[in-house]
Amino acid sequence: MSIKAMIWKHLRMWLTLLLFVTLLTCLLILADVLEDSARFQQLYSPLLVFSSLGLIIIIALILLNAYDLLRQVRSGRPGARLTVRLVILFVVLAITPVLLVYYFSLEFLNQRLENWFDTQIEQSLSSALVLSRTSLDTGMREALDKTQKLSAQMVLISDELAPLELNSLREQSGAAELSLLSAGGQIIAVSSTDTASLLPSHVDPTLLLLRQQDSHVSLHPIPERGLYIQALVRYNFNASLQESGERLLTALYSVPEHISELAAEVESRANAYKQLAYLRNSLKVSFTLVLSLVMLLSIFGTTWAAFAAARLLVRPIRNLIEGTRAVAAGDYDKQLPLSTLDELGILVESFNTMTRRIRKARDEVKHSQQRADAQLAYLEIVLERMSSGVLSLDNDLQLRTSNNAAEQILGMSLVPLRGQCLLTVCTDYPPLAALCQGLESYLNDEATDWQKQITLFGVNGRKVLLCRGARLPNLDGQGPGHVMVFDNITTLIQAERDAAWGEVARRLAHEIKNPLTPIRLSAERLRHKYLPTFPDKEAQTLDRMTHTIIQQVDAMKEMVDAFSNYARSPQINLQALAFHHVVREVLDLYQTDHILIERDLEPVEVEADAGRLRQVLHNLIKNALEAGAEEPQLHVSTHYREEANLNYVELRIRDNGPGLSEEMLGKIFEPYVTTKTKGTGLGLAIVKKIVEEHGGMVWMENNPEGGACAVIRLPTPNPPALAAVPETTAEPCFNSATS
Amino acid sequence: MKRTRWLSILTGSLMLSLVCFASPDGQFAVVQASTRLVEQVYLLDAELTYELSEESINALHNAVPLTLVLHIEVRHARWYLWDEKIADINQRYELKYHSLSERYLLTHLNTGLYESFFRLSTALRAMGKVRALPLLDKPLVNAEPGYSVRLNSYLDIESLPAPLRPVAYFSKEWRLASEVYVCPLKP
Repeated sequence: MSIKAMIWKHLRMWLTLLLFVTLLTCLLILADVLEDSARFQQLYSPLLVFSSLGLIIIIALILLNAYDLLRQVRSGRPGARLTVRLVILFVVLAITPVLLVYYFSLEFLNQRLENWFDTQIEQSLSSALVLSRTSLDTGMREALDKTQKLSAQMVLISDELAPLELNSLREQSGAAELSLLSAGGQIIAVSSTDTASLLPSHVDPTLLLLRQQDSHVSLHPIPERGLYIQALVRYNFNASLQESGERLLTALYSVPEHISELAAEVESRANAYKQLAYLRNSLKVSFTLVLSLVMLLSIFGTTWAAFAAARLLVRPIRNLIEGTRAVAAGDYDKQLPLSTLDELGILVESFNTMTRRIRKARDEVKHSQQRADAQLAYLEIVLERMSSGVLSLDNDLQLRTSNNAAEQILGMSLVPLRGQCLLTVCTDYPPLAALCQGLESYLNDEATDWQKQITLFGVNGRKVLLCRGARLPNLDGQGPGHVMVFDNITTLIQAERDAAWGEVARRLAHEIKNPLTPIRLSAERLRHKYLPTFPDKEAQTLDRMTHTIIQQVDAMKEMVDAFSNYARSPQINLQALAFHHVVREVLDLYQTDHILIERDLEPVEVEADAGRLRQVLHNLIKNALEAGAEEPQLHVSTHYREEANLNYVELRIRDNGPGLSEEMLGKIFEPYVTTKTKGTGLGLAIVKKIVEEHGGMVWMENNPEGGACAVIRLPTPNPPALAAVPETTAEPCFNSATS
Repeated sequence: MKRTRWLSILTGSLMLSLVCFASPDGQFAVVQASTRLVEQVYLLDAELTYELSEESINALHNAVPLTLVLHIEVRHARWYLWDEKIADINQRYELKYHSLSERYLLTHLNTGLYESFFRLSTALRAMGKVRALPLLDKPLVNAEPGYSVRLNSYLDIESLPAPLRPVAYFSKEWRLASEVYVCPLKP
């Protein structure tokens, strides 16, 4: 959690707590106001509004919390359902006693309020008021009498003398105030003990409507001064002929102080009781309102606290759930925040320790795996670059690994066979069958190291493999396995054999050819010297014998020359030439009416000695024509091929003869190996020698549709030009051959 | 005997005032208002009628004092802004019933002067007569036209006892107020 979020979280919590405290204070003040406290009277309505708004804000906060919790439940957040249960539990536990207290408080309040207002008390207070009035009646009557007497003394007093007379009469009568008014209520004269007041006490306009000779007396309360008796008398004054008419004399008499205080006390208590009785229902409403506000504040406060407490309790559990899920998902870097030191804190610490250890173990395993992968990659690279074929088998002789060299040597893909028992599936693959047949005894034996030479026959002809094997230790708990390494030593054996034949040829040429010349010269001298001298019969015998000697010497010389040619290794002159042109030139020499030659010549270039290449072509074509077909047919093709990092030109000369036996396929290119009755048996051996001198390879194979096919592959650095057009001349050639 | 008769008259007057000056919902109104300039001071003369609701009279007789406010504003209309308030006067009256003397005491809270009446109607009528109430000095008023006096009266609920206020705010019988009466400020 960022610092900003943490500050906001704490600020929000403190603001909410402040709101609760403020609302509680407001409710306390409201209760104080209802107890008739004068301190916060003016704050009553604003406090009610503020409390209501505060409650609305708290309700909004609770709704937001509830919505957030509901969203968490719907999204399946860990711990959300537990939070819901805890909140419900807390709220139920808290609300139940609050509601009970609320109910009984209301009941108690209503009962007490009803009991407070007893009708007897009300009656008593009313009676007290009447009693107060009655006790004042005597004073009021005396005041009225006194005023009537004063009015009688004022009958002859003119308005000008009235003030003086009033002063005298006031002092005489003991009145607090005397005022003389006209019939319309205008003030004529005033005499008062209160010198600060210029105006007389107020006279109800109703009293101005009194009829003549009527009088009036009543209690007259004056704020802050107490209770007075006001008497009013209307009389006719007749001061002179000019001054006469109606006058009103009002007098204000103070009530004795102790009576006034008692009367005020009775009036005040009666008023207070009447007010309380009148406000009884309003008080009920107000108390209920404040109590409801307290109850709602308690409930909502508890609910909010329940949310906070539930979140606080569930947070470490939620963290643990999230952490467990993260670990289950493979995130071992998960560390939970440690906030408390209680049992949950110990659990969180244990979880953190566990993830740290798991992470360490994972890192070690990962490191080991990386090292193993690197070793494996290294071994695979080494294996792929090896010229020897490598196969590894498990304890059940199931193929586990193989390299490209093994596939090239065996001439088949080994990847599909991985995981299968080699001895079971080898029957479907002839090269593999020969290999397994030769090695089965070793694979089933307990021998740790072994070596054996095996001969295979495949599409590429006969192959001689030198196999070495070893028993693997039980490394991965699946039992011991086997590893086989085999090399194709066919070429090596062939080279050794060719070298041996070359040596034989040189020795024959040297040891045999030298005596042949003296033998032939001696035979010719015998003929020349003794043939004319011998009689006919002996001469015929001599002639026949010397002729035989000379003929056989020539034959032997011819044979020795052939040997010499085979053994001789002249310097080859390599130059770039169009291979298909050379092939076409040679083929043109063999075009006759009896030979059908099909051509499929793709323009290709090679670096070769043209003369020796022609010798190869002559030998192969002659060999194909002499394959034994009654009507020889040849199919000659040249193609450019690309294989892994190797570009070469392939020449195929296919005949329609009977083909070759498998035995002959393997040794047809050895000297003196031939299927024909004539010839030296060196033609194909010379072909092989020349091809190998050019870095190429040659072999014979049987066509599926019959006949043998000689295949030559010569390396070439350049691919054929894209614009070049293949020379496919089967039809014209055929026509030319048949024409 | 005279006193008994007077009590009968007063009781009758009281009942009459209840009938005449109590309508179920009550009603305040400004009947007429005008200003005059006397010795460089603008004075207000106004005639208002106060009709208390039954509930408010009941409260008055149950020792609940009522506070009535005459709110007066002098404004100067401006075409470019809202009206400028030149003067804001609240005349507050407290009306209560003195049960011992059976009189209605009307106290002018601004001045402390009091009057007592036997009849509620007389007290309300006396309160409705505003004579020569000083509004403002003439130097405070420019020669420009557009000055007006706005006055209205209402029962001040906030002056009621606290338990009564929540009920009063939501009761039509307690929401007693007159329409705003506007008259020009003129000499």
